[in-house]
Amino acid sequence: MSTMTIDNLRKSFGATEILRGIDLDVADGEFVALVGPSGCGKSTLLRLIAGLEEASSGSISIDGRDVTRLPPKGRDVAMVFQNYALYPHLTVRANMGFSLKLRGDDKATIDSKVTDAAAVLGLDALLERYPGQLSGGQRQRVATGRAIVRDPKLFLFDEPLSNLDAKLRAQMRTEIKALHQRLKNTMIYVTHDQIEAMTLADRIVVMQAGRIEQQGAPLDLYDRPANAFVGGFLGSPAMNFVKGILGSGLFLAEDGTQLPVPDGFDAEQGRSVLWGVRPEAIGPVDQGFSGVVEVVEPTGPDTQLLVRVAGQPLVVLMHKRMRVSPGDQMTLGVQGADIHLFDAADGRRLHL
Amino acid sequence: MDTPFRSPLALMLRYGLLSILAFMVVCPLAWLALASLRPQAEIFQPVSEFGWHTFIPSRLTLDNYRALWNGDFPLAVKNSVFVAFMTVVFGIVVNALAGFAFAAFDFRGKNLLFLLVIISFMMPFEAIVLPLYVMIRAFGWANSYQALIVPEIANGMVIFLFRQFFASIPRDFYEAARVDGASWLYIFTRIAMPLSWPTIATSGLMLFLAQWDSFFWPVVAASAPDYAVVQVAIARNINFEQNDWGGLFASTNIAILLGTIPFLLIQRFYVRTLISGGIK
Amino acid sequence: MISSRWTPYLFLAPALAGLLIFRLIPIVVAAGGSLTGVSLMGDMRFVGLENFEYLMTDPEFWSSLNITLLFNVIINPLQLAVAFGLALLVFRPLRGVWLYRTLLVLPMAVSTGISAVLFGLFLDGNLGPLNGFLEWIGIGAQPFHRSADQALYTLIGIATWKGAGYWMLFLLAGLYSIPSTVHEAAAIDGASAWQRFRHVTLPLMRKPMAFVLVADTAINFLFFAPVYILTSGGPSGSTSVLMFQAYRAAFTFSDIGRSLAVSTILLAIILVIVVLEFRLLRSPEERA
Repeated sequence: MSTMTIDNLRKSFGATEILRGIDLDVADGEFVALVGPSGCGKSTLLRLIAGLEEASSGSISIDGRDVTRLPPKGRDVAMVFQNYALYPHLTVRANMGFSLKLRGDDKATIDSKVTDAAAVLGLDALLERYPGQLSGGQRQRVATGRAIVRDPKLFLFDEPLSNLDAKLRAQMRTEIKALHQRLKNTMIYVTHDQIEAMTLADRIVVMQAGRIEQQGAPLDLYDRPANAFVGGFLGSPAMNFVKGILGSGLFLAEDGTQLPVPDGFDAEQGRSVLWGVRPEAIGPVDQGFSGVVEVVEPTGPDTQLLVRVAGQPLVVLMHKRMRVSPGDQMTLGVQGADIHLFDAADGRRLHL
Repeated sequence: MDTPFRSPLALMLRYGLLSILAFMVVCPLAWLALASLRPQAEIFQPVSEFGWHTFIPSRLTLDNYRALWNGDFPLAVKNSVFVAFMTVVFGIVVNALAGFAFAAFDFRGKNLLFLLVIISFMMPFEAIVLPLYVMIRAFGWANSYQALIVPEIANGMVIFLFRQFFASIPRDFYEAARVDGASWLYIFTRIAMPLSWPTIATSGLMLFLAQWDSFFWPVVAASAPDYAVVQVAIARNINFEQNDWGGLFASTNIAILLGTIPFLLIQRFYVRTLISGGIK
Repeated sequence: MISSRWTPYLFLAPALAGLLIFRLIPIVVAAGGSLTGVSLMGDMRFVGLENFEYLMTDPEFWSSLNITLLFNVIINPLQLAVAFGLALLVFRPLRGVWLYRTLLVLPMAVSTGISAVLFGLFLDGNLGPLNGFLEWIGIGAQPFHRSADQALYTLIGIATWKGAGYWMLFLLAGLYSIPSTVHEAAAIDGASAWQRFRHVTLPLMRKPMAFVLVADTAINFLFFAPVYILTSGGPSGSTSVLMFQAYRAAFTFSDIGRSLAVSTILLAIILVIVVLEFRLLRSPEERA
């Protein structure tokens, strides 16, 4: 059983405020991904949970025990670092057993735990090697193994896959997911890769400028972003935005083009808003708004188009092959349920 | 890196230790600087009269420095400055050329020649002073400026530093200039050297310190008064039976300032280059 | 890259000529010259191993070798320990630490000969303040380099004052090259500050420490200026290191052959040290 509660946590370096009041509850066995652009404070938050930095104010509790002022030693957390941080002078075996040795476990216990973890991660043949003799993927596994042998209350991951190439990253992502399903430990995972966050996490926490923008199940966040930032951050290719004002039952872009609004949406006319729609939600229809194709990018299964609508380039993602060329006229449409409207000033979502 | 969970006691202990050590380093230097400003009559310090006036002169005077002006000390300063300056200028050019060759070209015998450079910087210069003296004497160079300057120009450590720096510039850079029709000498003087000024500063200081620190070689190779450098001129005067103690204090202080002032001006680059692993 | 065949060699020529003539050929000259002697008429002749045979039977040479070894056995570990202590003190960020670091490396810029003169004055009973201070706190004045018992240790102290800051820089470079996340990983693994030092810092500093120890040893075998300036090998031969013997053979006894024989022995010692240095600089994986 391990839960974590963070209450109004703040961190400043000198005059710079990195975290501006974070509240977060993590349930037992939950996999939480912290995402956000670089500099949003997600890594700092993880380091505060680990005890590598000291909080300026607020509190962190693990299993109901306040650990805010405890050094890492007293927190029973394990962490996988972005650059793995393996001990270069120790073999894989000694790297994985280091914490157990410090804890004073006897040699037989250490050996059996290291061997078990190595079997899970397929490291059996590498136990006597040094980190310098391993490939990137192998190092990543050793770093994960070092965390597993401790059976800690919390697993912390700091962008653990960002130093791997794309193919290996996808493979390790699957391995980490399988590992979580098997161990059922509580895990907190920092990443800037929203695909990783979407596929791995039970819950995603989107951060920006030291604050939590929104948290929730991955698909909830994808379908109902609480603000324009979250809408734009999750999803690739990113959500399209058009600036304009609300008319009566429709949206008027800055150049006067009329675009639809969500079904049954009725708000004050003349309000400045952002009209957002995901690339895969737009498609060719008989009756809709018109655009001019500018770029065609076939990727095999999909075709990605850049279409100029209302004076702005919109990305359109079709899950099929299309016979279009730059310069072609297209009539596009979008389902009312797929349209997102945000306040132009503060970015807040305007409807449910 | 922030150091979390640090106890104030550890912090005080660290400041305390550092202050004691820094004091031990600075105390003799500061004492000498002040003592050189004492009137001659106050120089002797009976052991029984220890107190604040052991360090603080009753009145400050430049008499000791004025007296130096008429002796042979100005010549020694001139010799030192000239020798150090020539060593630094020639040393930078010659070693930078070699460092550039090791970084930019592939040629036959490269590894062997580079090994020679490494060996030469691991072996301290003092090891070969006496045989070198035999050679210099045979050249007819004993007691001359070139005896002091020429052997100190080629410096394995400086070649190594330049090689490290030039190797860190992508080769595309040089190749682009080649494609544009530049000669290698042009690339070296107009592209490589202007990029390397931190390395030039560090190397210059390194060459300066090597020349400045040498003692055995100038004593052996150029001990005649006309060519004596500062450290040799002073060492010759220190028989502890002379009358002009004030002059010795003042000349020693000048010799210290001549080394420490350039060092203080450039040490930031130097320390940074050393620490960033330029040495390994 | 394509270049004229001779271009690289033209770039290299001045520096390599310098290294060859002023660093390598002298080794040959030392070895060759050590086999010669000067006759009464003043011309050189080949004498075979006579110079070495003389040294082997010369009690002064043996006592000098002993002093040189004693000097090195004490000074090298001492300087390494002091330099490592300094490096640890200035390594982690601290307000004003750059000032301390600058002050600690300042003696680098004081010429060795000048630092000997400085301490000659500083430690002098009549001119310097230290004996007054020792008297004042009740320890009593010390003779320092004027006594056979204390001279060698006084020189060790002066050399450490001058050298510790320099070697500190190399160890500082080593400390900086340990990724900070490795320390953090150890902290998360439950290591206390002492355990992190013992199990992470110390093993990872093995290479820079070995380098400093060996390079420092090479330099200290050639220790000369303070001996020449302060003690002239005395009192009663207590500081007569090999380098001073080589100097005296050449310039007091005008026996270049014997002087070069001492130089050759020193060179042989230094070459062994250089080989050791190469060995030590290989990383642990290369040996595994």
